[in-house]
Amino acid sequence: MMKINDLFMQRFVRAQNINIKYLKLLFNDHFVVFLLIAFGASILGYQQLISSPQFTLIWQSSWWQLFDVLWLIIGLQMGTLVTYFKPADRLYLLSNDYLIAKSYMKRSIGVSAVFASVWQITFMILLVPVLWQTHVFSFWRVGTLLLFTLSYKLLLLLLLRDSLFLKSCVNILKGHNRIKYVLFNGIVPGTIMTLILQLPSDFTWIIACLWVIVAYACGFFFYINDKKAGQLALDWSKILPQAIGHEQHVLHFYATFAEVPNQQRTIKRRQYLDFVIRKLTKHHPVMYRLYLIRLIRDTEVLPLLVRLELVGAVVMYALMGAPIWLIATIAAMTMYLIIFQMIPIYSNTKQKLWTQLLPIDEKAKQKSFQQLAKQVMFMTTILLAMVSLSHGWLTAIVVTIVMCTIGIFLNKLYIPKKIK
Amino acid sequence: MPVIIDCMGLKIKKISGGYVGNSVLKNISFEVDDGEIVALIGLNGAGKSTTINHIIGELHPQQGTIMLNDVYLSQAPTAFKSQIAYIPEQPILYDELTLEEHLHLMLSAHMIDNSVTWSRAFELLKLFRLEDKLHWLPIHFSKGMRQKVMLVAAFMLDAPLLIVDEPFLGLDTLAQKDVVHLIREQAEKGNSVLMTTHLLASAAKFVDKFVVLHEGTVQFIGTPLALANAHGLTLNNLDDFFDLMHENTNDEN
Repeated sequence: MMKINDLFMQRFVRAQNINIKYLKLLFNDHFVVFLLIAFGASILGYQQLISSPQFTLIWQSSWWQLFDVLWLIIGLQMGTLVTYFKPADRLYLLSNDYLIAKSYMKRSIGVSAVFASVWQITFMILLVPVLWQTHVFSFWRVGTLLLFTLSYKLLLLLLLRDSLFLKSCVNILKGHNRIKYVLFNGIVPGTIMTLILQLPSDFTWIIACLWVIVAYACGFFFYINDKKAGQLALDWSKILPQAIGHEQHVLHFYATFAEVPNQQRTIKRRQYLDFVIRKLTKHHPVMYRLYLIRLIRDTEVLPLLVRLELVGAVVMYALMGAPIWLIATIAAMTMYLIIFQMIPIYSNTKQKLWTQLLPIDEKAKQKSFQQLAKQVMFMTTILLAMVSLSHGWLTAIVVTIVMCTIGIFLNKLYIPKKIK
Repeated sequence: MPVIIDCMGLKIKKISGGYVGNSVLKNISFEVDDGEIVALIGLNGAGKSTTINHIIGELHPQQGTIMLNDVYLSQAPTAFKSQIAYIPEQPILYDELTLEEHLHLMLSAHMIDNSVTWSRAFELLKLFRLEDKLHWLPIHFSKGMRQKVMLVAAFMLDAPLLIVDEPFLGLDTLAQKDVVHLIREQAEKGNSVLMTTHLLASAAKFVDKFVVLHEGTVQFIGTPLALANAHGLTLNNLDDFFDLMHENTNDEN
């Protein structure tokens, strides 16, 4: 017999097994080479950015404190409530609100807090060299900042849990979700972080003590005892989208590097891009139009492609004084990753019954997709070649030649093999 | 002297097939002539959907041939598919495409995306009260509305063969009447119609022929009246046919 009390942990174990499966897939792949190069290049780029003499003046700017706060606020957005709820729970766990509120959610908060803490610590570690360079570093200050971000993130998780019940404890700004989000996820923590950074190092302990009292009181406010659990009812219309959203984010991360089967896709209308669709599809076959629309309105692939382009460009720019071959390799890898990410657009479209019914032969469908891939590769080449210009003409020429070669390889061999 | 082609309409000859490791259809043959409405009937698992999946080219038969107006599916799948319009049991749409884009996609793929066909499509949109939802995405449609999109996309093609899997599922009574009218209209134009249904008494009013499938074989082909007479039923209580079929199966077991 399955107990609700153990359900969360069962699901947690299952989710970790899936994670291990995907991680194995990821690290067994040739992709690990790219990860190592990208990781090494990022560290190298960051180190050069920190120690480069041309940035000495920039470190003295007071804008860095704003950067520090913004960076930590971005960190606070990382790590959400992990509930592992499934759509079928709405039916099968219909009469278990008490146990879910009391036990299931308690475990959920515990696991979520661990994951979120890893994020906060990572963001803090990455910020330490900047704090050092801007002369605001002290163990007390960093310790207080870390204590604050960890405990504040826990409170944010508790606040999120609270919002998943039909009757929330926090009723301020009800119906104004965006304002509430900006307030609790930006303004409040931003103000406290600014205080910690601004005040002399010797006074940070006062803030630390005050915050511990406030955080403890807030934690007590959110605590669910037996009596409170009996009065709570789950709001499945909020719980399920939140759980599905989290699952999609995790799968989305793995999908960046490996093929993830049955990944649910979401879409955005993006009406402002309709003119691009009209312009580009004027003299192209109908299948090209279909692939382009699917790419433009996809919430997974398109943002991922844009992010990859940006990350590739930033890493290449940051590699000051790095050998040309390393910059060219990063450019080539970025191109490969982008095409790798585009392939699901074709395979997903192919699986649709509607596509299968269209009286268009398979070769024409493949040709249309290759046409779109070619355009994306062309844009990537232009962007990355322009970025590499910052390293000199020779680097830009080498990067362009390498990207053209990789582009031909991808278009003539890799893509046809993948979409066969 | 004009050439007389005797292969018009859909001809299924000795088809055996199914899914990998599961052979569902056993040597089935039947025809749907031009202007004829044929209903495939049978209990769940009889092979109706599998038959349709073979005809639309989603499954490849292990043996036998499927021919439509002289075109073999196995030899010229694209030319074959350009002659069919299909309405599946469950509506299938691209999440990213608006209603208008779906229709234009289908028309362009059939190379008939012109003002004449579009005006026909628009008439159908009006009939199903979708004319003001052209820019909507499928996520904003109810299940019935999604099914109506499939109906418009199929009927606007005026294809030589219309395949309808459970035509009335999820539709309101008004739309059901419209569908029957449109199916009849297709037949009057000389197009073949193949459908599946469980509502025999209702279907008997407008179909020309029933093809009864049982455990992957064809058990009966004939008019609704012939089917009723063969089992001691009337056209009005033809829905009882499945009860008799079920009893016979139990007796055999």
